[in-house]
Amino acid sequence: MRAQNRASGVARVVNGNVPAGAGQRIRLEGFAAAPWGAAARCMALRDFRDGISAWRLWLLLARRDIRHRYRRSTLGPFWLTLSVGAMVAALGLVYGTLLGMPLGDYLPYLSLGLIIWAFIAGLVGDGCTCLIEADHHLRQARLPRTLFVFRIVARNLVILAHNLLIYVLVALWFQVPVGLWSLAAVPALGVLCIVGAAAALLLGLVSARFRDVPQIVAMLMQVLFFVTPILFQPAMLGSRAWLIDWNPAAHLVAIVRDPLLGRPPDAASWAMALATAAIALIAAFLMLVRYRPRLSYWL
Amino acid sequence: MTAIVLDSVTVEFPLYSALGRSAKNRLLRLGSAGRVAADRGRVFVRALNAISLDLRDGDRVGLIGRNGAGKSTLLRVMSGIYEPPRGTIRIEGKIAALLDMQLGMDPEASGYENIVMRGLFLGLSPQEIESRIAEIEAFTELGEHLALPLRTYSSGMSIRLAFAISTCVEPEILLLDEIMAAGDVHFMAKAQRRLNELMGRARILVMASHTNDAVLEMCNKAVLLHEGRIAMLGAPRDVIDAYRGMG
Repeated sequence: MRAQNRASGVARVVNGNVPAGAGQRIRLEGFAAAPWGAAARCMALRDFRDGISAWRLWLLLARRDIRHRYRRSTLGPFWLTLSVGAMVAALGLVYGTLLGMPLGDYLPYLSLGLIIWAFIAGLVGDGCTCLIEADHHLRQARLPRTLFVFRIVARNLVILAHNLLIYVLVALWFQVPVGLWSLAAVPALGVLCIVGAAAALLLGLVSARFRDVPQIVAMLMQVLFFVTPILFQPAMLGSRAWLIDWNPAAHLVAIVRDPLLGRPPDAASWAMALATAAIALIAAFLMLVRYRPRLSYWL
Repeated sequence: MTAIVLDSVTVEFPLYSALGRSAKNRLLRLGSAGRVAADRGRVFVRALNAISLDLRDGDRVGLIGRNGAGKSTLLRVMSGIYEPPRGTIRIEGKIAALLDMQLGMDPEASGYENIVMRGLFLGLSPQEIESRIAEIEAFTELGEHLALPLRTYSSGMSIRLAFAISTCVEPEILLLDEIMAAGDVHFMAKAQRRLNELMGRARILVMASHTNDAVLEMCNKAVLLHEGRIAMLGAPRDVIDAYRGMG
């Protein structure tokens, strides 16, 4: 199989590594002439494949990122757990009282929402800077762009795992009816990762060109947080519930949150989440086709 | 068959500075060797202009030219970092580019961690990295420093490590950019020896250099770049004479 690949002029891919020294044979055609051409699409797909096959590298980078952030602190990444815990406790008491919800219902709902939101916001925020941050790697060697996207997905998954500890404690304390339905959270998380990776690729490329984009995105994400049902429940909007029907973030949060709260998955939310994933993937792929070669000139 | 074939490769850098216009004027006033052109309100610096080159097995090419003539850009095009907007390039063979060796080194990670990380970036497998660690230990003479974070190293020490890692590959095509590592005399001699061995094993060598001696010693061809174009291609001696004649 591998010998065949080499003969047909496809870059050599070593398991888990960057394709050795940019591959055995490579042909780069001027991208200005046919920015959407077959060659450009093929290179985008190859970038994606090379990115996946470099899994060892992005796992290592992600692990190192986490370690660096909490270097020499006693708690290490559990500072994340603690800060989410403090947030849940404070917001839970205030908003639970404001909204008149019993803590036994509100805290599991709120903590899970906050944790999932932190994951989405982390992917989007890190996504904006994932390629800008990698400029010293990208200017040193020919590397797949998607490698740095997968790195931030892995990084945020590690953070999510630490934060989920809070929910485990809350769920145990309030005896949330976790059952078979809860397994639906696993594929839902997969959908979230796909949307996140696509968004990171898209935003990473745009941000490398327009350096104001990370700031704009940070601002929008803050607004989005307050209009997404995390602090409140969708039903509280009453006749204005449609406000969140068209908010993809609301559905992305819901498909992970509902099963873990012991509720059956909602078909409409799943449909919206899958549609979001499909649109994000197509948009990210088109961006990669068009701007993958230009990225080097923007860094 | 090892080869690098460039066919009328043109590379332009867009200038996206907020003060695009004044940046353009400033560059023009500096008399930069690269051409600055404006197109539909966008400003470009043309770094390479219609470069055609056909390098085959056994070619050892020295790139000569003033600062900004396009030497580093050409090496980055050959390594696939910059894909040309116009023209085509075909690369056949395992390629290694020693451009800025310290790029990608992580000051917070230990020497060993940097070896693994840079090794993976260079396309080595974990087994290959493992098998090279002893050699890197011996070459750098860093001893137990390798277990400490890179930020505790002196600049000479980190250059030694960066150099050792970057040169532990076995490429068919080797691209070198002005490798003149700072360091003590003892290390310089060692580094030169290691580099010469690496260059000797590569099937195709392309090196950018200010020191004409290195080109005379290592190369059998030389390319004189001027304002992003190939001004001359020929035997190293002739090309260096022409370069000197340019004043």
